[in-house]
Amino acid sequence: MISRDSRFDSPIMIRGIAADLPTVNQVITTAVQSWPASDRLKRLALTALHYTSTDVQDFEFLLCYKAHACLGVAVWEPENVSFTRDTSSVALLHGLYVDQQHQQQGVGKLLLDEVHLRAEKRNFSGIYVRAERFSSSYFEHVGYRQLADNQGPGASISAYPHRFLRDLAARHSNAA
Amino acid sequence: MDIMLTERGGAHYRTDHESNRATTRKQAASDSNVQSAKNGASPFLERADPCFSCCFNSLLHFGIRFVMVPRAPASLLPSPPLVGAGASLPFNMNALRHNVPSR
Repeated sequence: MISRDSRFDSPIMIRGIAADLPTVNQVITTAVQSWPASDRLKRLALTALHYTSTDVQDFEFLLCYKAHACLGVAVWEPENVSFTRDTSSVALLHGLYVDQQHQQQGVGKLLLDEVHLRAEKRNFSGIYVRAERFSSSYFEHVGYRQLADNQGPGASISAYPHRFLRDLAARHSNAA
Repeated sequence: MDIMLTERGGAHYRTDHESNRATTRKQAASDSNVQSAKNGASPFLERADPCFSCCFNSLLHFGIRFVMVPRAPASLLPSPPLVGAGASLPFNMNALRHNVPSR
């Protein structure tokens, strides 16, 4: 028998400000340390991955806290209408990072679930991500499917190879 | 097996399931000892107790909260500080203003 317990429903949601971005960047810094890449490559990547206050124009940031520790961050683009599929639009998940010490504890899944929920409320039919090569298995594990070169947003002959899409309608059919 | 699923994907086992835990874990350990004797792997890594891991996960997710930094249109962002006339700049500002090449 499977039942739901309302005590565990929604985690508390607090409104943050752009001043929270250094925390976001700190999580990104620690998360990148677990990448199977050279120190130099990690260092170079960090300069491109860190967010600045101007990024708040485009992205919504979701920080997952336990006590005073920020465990992970999800960044997505809630107003992007450039990706359309049929008559509905697909939102871009720009980044998902979990602090190195808190990886493999379900923090990423918690963040993704919240992003999916928020995207659904904005009538997006799916979430699209350009993943790092070594994150491909993770996104497959959490229900994203890999897009072929001629499929989905960014489709072209030389499309980015690790593009994934999560159909938000499928989320309902799985839950039913 | 009674599981209370949380909205966020975590899980919490009912108390009546607690009584089964000891038996399950003991059996898992003994089974895995046989298994590990066959292939030389660690018994505890080989056969993780699902009940334990679910309880562990629900404990991990207890007290989780989200902080959301909403998207802010450019018009709402603070404008950058103005640079006064005559301030030292790496290029000739007057040349830019009058669209003449700097010397």
